[in-house]
Amino acid sequence: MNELEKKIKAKIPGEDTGIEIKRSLCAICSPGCHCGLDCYVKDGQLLKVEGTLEHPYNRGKLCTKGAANRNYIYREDRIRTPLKRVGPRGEGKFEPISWDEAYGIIAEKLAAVKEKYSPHSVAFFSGYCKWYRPILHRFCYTFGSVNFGTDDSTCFKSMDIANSLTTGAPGGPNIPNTNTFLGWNYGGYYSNHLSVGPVRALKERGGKVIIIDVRYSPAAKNFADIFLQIRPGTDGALALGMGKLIIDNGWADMDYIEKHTYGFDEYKELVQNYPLDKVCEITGLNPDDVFEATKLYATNGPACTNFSASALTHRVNGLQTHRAIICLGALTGNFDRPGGNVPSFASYIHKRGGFTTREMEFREEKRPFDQLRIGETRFPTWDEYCDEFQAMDLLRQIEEGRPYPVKAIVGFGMNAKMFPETDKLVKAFDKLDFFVDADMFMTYTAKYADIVLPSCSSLERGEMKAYEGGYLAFTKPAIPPLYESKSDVDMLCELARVMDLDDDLLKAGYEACCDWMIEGNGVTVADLKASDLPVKIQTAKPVVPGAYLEKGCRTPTGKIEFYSKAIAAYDPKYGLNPLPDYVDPLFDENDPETKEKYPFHMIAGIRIPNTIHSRVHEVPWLRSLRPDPLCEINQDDAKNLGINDGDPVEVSSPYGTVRLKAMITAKLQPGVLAMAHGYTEANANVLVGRDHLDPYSGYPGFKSLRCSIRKY
Amino acid sequence: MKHVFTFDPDRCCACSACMIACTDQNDINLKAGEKCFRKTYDTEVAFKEGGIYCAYLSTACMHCEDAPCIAACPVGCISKDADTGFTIYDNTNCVGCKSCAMACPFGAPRYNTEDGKMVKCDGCYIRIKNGMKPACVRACSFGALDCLTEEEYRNSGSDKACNVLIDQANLRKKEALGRWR
Amino acid sequence: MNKIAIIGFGAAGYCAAAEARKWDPDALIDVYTDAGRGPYNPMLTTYYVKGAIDYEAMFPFGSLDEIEERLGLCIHRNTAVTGLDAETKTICLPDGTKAAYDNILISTGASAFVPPIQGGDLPGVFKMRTAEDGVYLKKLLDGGKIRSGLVVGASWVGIKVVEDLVEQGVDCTLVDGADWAFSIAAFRQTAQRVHRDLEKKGIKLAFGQMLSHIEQEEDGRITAVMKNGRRFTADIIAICIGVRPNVAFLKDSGIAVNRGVLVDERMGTNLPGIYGAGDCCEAYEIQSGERKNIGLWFNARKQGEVAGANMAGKRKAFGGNALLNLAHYLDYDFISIGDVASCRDEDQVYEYEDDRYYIRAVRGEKLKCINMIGTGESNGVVKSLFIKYFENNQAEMDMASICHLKENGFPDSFIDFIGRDQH
Repeated sequence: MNELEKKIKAKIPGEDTGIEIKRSLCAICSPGCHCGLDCYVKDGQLLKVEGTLEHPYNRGKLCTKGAANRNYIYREDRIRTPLKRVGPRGEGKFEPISWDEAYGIIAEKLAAVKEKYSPHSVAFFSGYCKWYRPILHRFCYTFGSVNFGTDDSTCFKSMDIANSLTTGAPGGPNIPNTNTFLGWNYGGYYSNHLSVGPVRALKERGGKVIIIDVRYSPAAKNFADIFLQIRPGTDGALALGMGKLIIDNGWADMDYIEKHTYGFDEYKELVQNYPLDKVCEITGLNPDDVFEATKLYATNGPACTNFSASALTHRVNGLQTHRAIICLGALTGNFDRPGGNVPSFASYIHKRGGFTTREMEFREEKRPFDQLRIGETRFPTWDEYCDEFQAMDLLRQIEEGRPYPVKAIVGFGMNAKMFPETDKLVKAFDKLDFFVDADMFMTYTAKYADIVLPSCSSLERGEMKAYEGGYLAFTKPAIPPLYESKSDVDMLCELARVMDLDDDLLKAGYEACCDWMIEGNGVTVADLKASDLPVKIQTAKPVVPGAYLEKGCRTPTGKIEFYSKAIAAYDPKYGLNPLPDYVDPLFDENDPETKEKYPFHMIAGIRIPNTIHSRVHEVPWLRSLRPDPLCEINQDDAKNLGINDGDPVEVSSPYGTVRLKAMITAKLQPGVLAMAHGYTEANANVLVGRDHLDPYSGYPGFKSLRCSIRKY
Repeated sequence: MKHVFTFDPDRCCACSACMIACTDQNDINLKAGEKCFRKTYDTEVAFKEGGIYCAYLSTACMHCEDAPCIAACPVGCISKDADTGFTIYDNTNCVGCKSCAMACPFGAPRYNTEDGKMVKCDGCYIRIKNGMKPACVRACSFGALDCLTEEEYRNSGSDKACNVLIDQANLRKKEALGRWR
Repeated sequence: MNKIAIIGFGAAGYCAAAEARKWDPDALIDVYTDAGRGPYNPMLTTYYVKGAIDYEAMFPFGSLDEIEERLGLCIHRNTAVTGLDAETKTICLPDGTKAAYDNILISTGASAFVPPIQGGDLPGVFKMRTAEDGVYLKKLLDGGKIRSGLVVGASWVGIKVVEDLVEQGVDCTLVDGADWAFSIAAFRQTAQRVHRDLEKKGIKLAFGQMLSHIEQEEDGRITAVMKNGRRFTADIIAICIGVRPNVAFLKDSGIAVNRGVLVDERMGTNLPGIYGAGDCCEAYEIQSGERKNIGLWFNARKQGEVAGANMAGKRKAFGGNALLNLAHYLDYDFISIGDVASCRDEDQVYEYEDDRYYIRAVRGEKLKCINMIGTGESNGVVKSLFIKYFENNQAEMDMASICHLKENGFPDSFIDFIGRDQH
């Protein structure tokens, strides 16, 4: 090999090698992330990816999944053309059709449902990777349907609602200025890789870290000064117990409480029910550890808390658990102060850029009001705080047709495996007149669709994206779309033209829509496209701790509400508690018979480094890191049950059964099982009952349910 | 300039981004049974005296200064790159005898099942020569893996060089999981 | 000026010359070799035979001319040293002349041992050690007329000859005087598995067969007759019963010789200024603390380097020397680490077997011997742990090795078994 051949083999960019670095972003995970990506490209082929060093968000870093982008994009089962189903739903038999034909069928079928039932009988649903949500949302409203829904029905929103109810604002941990990081359910390493650096820096400057987790995680090993390995789902009891300790020991910031909070007396009375010994009985923790952790949190200067977007709220007591945790910040004056949890608001699709876009107006100006959404009136807090339907009621409404039938679904990246009792949902698809789904791959769900549209990846399209620190970006394709695939938003805008929707903006295309949304920020899409990197927006303002409280909270009382006036206002028939009281995470599964038959506490949906939901299970490089779906089980339990590492095991709940392999570990406590979710061949969510839900948010109790396990 | 790989086990979580990057960089054909040159470990090590240490490691060729594989190879496939000091190879004449594997204390050499020839980590020495970091280092989000010039390494005062790191199990006993139970 | 003589030019001789030159650019280095071509690697001959490598690849250091030029040596070709006067550090040459040096290295290697039997020189009877041996067999096999072959000696070389024959579709029989294959390194139980797997590949085996002589058959084939009268007839017969260090010329030189030249850690012999390295010598072995002749390419190179450095005035030592036998043939890996002969019936035995591995290890008061089949990529890790154990039998294993073994399917009980001594 000569020197040039060696350079080409080593993929060194340069004129001599013909390899060019093109900038894009990774859209494998949630839009809360989306790291800048350097794409090594030669002759339109992607050769390799790396994180973009100059990118203000990820500064060169990528997670395991992001590093596998090339393998993800070139998966052999990419959908190549629009497809029309020719076999029964779910069988996977399709024939290729043209884009024109596909659009024609979709337009015709949706018009028919609209005609026969009503526009609301068409449900629009966004799954991953969410970037097209504003366009789909507006499309849905322009079409005339109230029913726009997303995977927010099981992710992030419950925490968000709890924040809105309590402080009126989301509040991220301000780690750079803190003394103590309360890593409540903090995994970091496997789910939020960019958060690890700041925690490491905190440790290195002498700060303290408390980790509360059901698993002895890498964060617990590498960071914890105190590690509380809590019994799953009992975090609410711990938070209340800590609240009592803080009050009883005089560690509460009474001035702050006086000035900024509402309902302290009622809260104080509530926590009297959670003395340390009782809390430890519930949580399985050591009283000394709880005392020390609480003391450290409350007395070591500014302390901030990890707010968990899903782990804590994926329990039937989840929303109130999160409220109870927020209350600790209110007790100690750590909400909205340097080194505490500091509020900031989203600029565009969950990203907090410090500037405002017209994302909300973009859809709201087309919103119809002439029907109840799916799930409306079942979860009042959801209805009040979320501008979309609660999809956990979708199955019921398709099945029952009440209060009105759902007859068509327009899905983008829709994932049936997100739903409890997945098997029942896909069966219910038979009741639909029409189902169209857009995706990059022929997923489990897409197999049930009548028409499947081939989406391209983030590397093959341009998209607008906000980033923390006041940045906005509009990427350019690093490689042309593979096969006949298209950008999701182009499909929607083209479809708007074919269907001749009454929406000139949508018909004008994605870039025109983006220009409309960012108007007033002094930049245009053309300006953004001129840069390979995110552009600093002049209107962006840095977050100033204390400013939010100064203005008054966005709550009914304008204060941080220990006692939620909003909840108190709901009809008592819902039985909701304005105070963040604790209920057992298995309260609906604790009858003696169920208890005996299903003695294990299952966490269906733990994070492992090579997966994100069901998104990359079929990416060969990532799958190779853990080829089999595994059920983690404590070593003593395994011994008692005669289960060896790698043995095939059957895990059952009252709702279903999955078969997978056992992974024996000491990182879980006895009595607890854990598995990653999203596998088609071992779908955790068939174990979850459709009504095992948090009555406040409608969130399923994915991470606390009863199961049994046996070798088969 | 001579380079040194460093590894800090207290920063690692075995997320395996390094393995994916190695696979991406070196076009490892997993389907054909090839394995990438780096290997991570998420391993629970039980001590006889009680307690369990949860090890997270990432290992590959340590690019030993006095690399035993070089002398062990009967056909002279393996050599030192004069610039970087990395242990590189040309497996044209490799007979697949696994002598290098017998010489290597770290299990670094791999064998392609297709052609029966040895492959191993070459430290991405061509990237280094072009001012870039090795692919695995570039992919490590947590600072566990790094690759420094000898001078940088000396100035860092670190004791984490891969080729001197012999992380004795007994030093980890105090970190065993038992302390939280 | 430092005058250095290197007697014998294999891997040890070459590495000694290279190392001496590295430390002493001015030294005069004379090399004496009984061959006219560069140092070859005896373990490559069978790979050359099966076409895995070209002829040139058997000579990993290049030709004599290239080496002479590269290292600034004076190479005396086809010159076998006939004797050595250790007192005066003088060597005797075939033409009767003598030459005196400051430092002398004995690196004459070893030769394949063919007992002086009747018929040992018949056409079709061959050994396998030198490049020429490889050329001979390759020509025979490439001729396409060989249908059957007999290999006498289930040794490391013998098994590679078997591989050459089997891969060419030659009907093959392997016989050995011992009761099982690899008897100097394999436990009987290990060998049973080896036998089973060889037989699965169509190789016929016979043990307890001591070669008596070889007879010519009328049809042109040849027959190896055993001392027990059993006859094995084939087109060709390979004699692979072992090697002997080339030390005959040292008789009466005053240099201490057992099986090979006895050397210390710095490769020095009993006489100052005279060194030994490679297959012709016996260096300290870590397990017994005694000196053993361990013929390994790696040892030859490392011992050569150590001798070369010391001859150039550097202090360098050779350590970590363990009894090792590695056989890789027909997609099969077998390794033995440690001294199988030291094992006793009353010792503690560890045995493990699954789809991939067979492991058998023995401990007396100390760890003694480990046999493993199918563990190729982990052999270095286990060997290194074995050596570390003998360097300090109280030290814990390192975490990386433990993780490697666990993740590669070695049971915890094995890791414990080869770990530090328990009290």
